[in-house]
Amino acid sequence: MTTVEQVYQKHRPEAFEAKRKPSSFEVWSWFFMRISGVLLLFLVLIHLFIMHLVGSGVERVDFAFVARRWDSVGWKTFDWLMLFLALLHGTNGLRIVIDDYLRKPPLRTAVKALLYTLTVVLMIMGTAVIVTFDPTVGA
Amino acid sequence: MAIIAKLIEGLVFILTAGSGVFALYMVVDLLRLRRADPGTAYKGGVGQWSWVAHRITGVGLVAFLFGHIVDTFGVGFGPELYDETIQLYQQWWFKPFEVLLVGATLFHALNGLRIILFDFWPNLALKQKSFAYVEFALFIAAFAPAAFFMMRSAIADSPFI
Ligand code: HEM
Repeated sequence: MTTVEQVYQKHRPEAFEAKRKPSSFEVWSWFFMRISGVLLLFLVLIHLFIMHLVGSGVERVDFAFVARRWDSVGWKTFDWLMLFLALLHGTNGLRIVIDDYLRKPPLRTAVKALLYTLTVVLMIMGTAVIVTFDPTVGA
Repeated sequence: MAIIAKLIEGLVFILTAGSGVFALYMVVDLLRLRRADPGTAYKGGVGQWSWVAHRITGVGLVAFLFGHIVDTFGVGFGPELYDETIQLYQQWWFKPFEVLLVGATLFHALNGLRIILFDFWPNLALKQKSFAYVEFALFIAAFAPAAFFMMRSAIADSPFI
């Protein structure tokens, strides 16, 4: 069995040349970007196709349209999985970008703290709106 | 409700503009590095520009995703708020931005797939240029018809026709 770390080593030998091995967090982060990427490929392209191309596209989207879709657990699960993976993939991507451009520890830490806080808040908001959805609200 | 809808639309606007500023910064930063380093590290080529495009589209997509989670949260407050907020996306002049979003996603998805293929089957990277050109061809093949059909409906709705 090849381990994830071996695959990573094969592709990024330079990451292992320093005195210490890359942290296992970095290895899993690298692996997660690829696994979530493959899943998002399907989830996001289907999402874009349904929402922006089929029928009259985004012009037909309104509360009633959402209510019809979220009547099914299948679509709720689809949307939640996409939210979960895209948010983690995107936040992890931004973490890598921040590491590249913000080199001073105080600013880097502050921006990352802000990013992680936002991610937690958005994950809760996105999950809550799917799970607690009530088609009769405001009617 | 109207004020909250406008606030959410404003948030989407700020995030989008912010990612545009980042895209500009990144290109300027790269050109500066290329000038400062006449060696081999920043000499461009299809791989480096794909990396730039992957990063810019990635950051743009998260920026939009953040705003999009907030606007979708409005669904929980009923049709009055949600239908008003979502109208931003339904203006005829918003269509070019929507096309840009679809294009960015498509590019990031195909390019991400190319990166993943090279990572798990490193031999394929020997033909990296051919893979890049196949990727661009696939991108055009999928994006051109999508952009055409999306723009067509917007042009029909615009006041110019
Ligand atoms: C649709 C399918 C997608 C695929 C196949 C994909 C694939 C990838 C891969 C493989 C990476 C790692 C690149 C590297 O390590 O050099 C990456 C980075 C990234 N992705 Fe995605 N991705 C997808 C969707 C998304 C979405 C929806 C978002 C936004 C929420 C996003 C945001 C990012 C960001 C910000 C990065 C970091 C860019 C960088 O480090 O330069 N991606 N993507």
